[in-house]
Amino acid sequence: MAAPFEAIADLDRLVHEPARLAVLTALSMCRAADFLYLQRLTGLSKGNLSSHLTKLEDAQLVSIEKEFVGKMPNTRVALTRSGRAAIERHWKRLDELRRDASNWSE
Amino acid sequence: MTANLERVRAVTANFFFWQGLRWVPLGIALILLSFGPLTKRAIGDPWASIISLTTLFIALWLSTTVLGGYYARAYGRVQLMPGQHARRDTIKWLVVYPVMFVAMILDWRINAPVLLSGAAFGAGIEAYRRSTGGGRQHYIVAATLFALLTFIPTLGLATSRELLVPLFGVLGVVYVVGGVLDHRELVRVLGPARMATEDNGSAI
Repeated sequence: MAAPFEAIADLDRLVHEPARLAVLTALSMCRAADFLYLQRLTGLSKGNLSSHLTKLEDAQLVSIEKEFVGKMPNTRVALTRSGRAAIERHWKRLDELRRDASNWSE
Repeated sequence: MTANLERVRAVTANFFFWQGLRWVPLGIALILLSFGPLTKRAIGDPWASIISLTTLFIALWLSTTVLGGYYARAYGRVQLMPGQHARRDTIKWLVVYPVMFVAMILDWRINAPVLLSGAAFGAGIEAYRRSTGGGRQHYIVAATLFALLTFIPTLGLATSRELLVPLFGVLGVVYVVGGVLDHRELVRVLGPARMATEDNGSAI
């Protein structure tokens, strides 16, 4: 078992950042969600959310598609296969950490 | 943080069901339809049936077109994975609805000594709560209320057959109150509604 700090430092920071973790967690529960939904969910400004999504897209964790719904442009975000694997791995790691944390004070 | 993320999971996977205001017109329609026998006595058929059908269509239109559009503009859209809720749908159609239907038939046909539909509706409401993301304690209150209604015939106040139509009125009240409280929960997770007026992702 790793020491507490090592275990936490070992977490994937790209995924673990709170807003990105919320986005990836939400996307893991659906096929796709639009930008507006993710914006409401995270409470981030457009620019800030865009910047997070760009980072996730660059890391090939999400795919972003633009389309029209009626006359309104709409941006749809979905997890890629590697994104889904990354968030599942991350949640598993968090669960392990939570379990291990109960032994740290002993 | 984990609890918040659990909420995010629950809301995203059940986004449609948490759009509580959608259920309000349907609840009002159910309440009005529960007065159906009185309307029929007052104005007779076919007008009573025409009013009932019109009420139902207006409620469906408000729920889908008007309020569905409102939620899409205010909170965006979520696309589910195909078959994501297959287990829930199977249980709903093969267990919950048939049990409710059989209970209503028994209450109507044999005038059961207890209101079987009360227990069946109560169980149905609890199944709905659990299968659509949990939380929302108000549905536990509603399920308990329905369970208690089961025993009204034993008090001699009304027979189970007489209670069957008013039961839909009570269900309508649950739709209205539950819907408003579901909306409040949604706002807690997603924040207050702000309408999108332009490309919602133009910054990307």
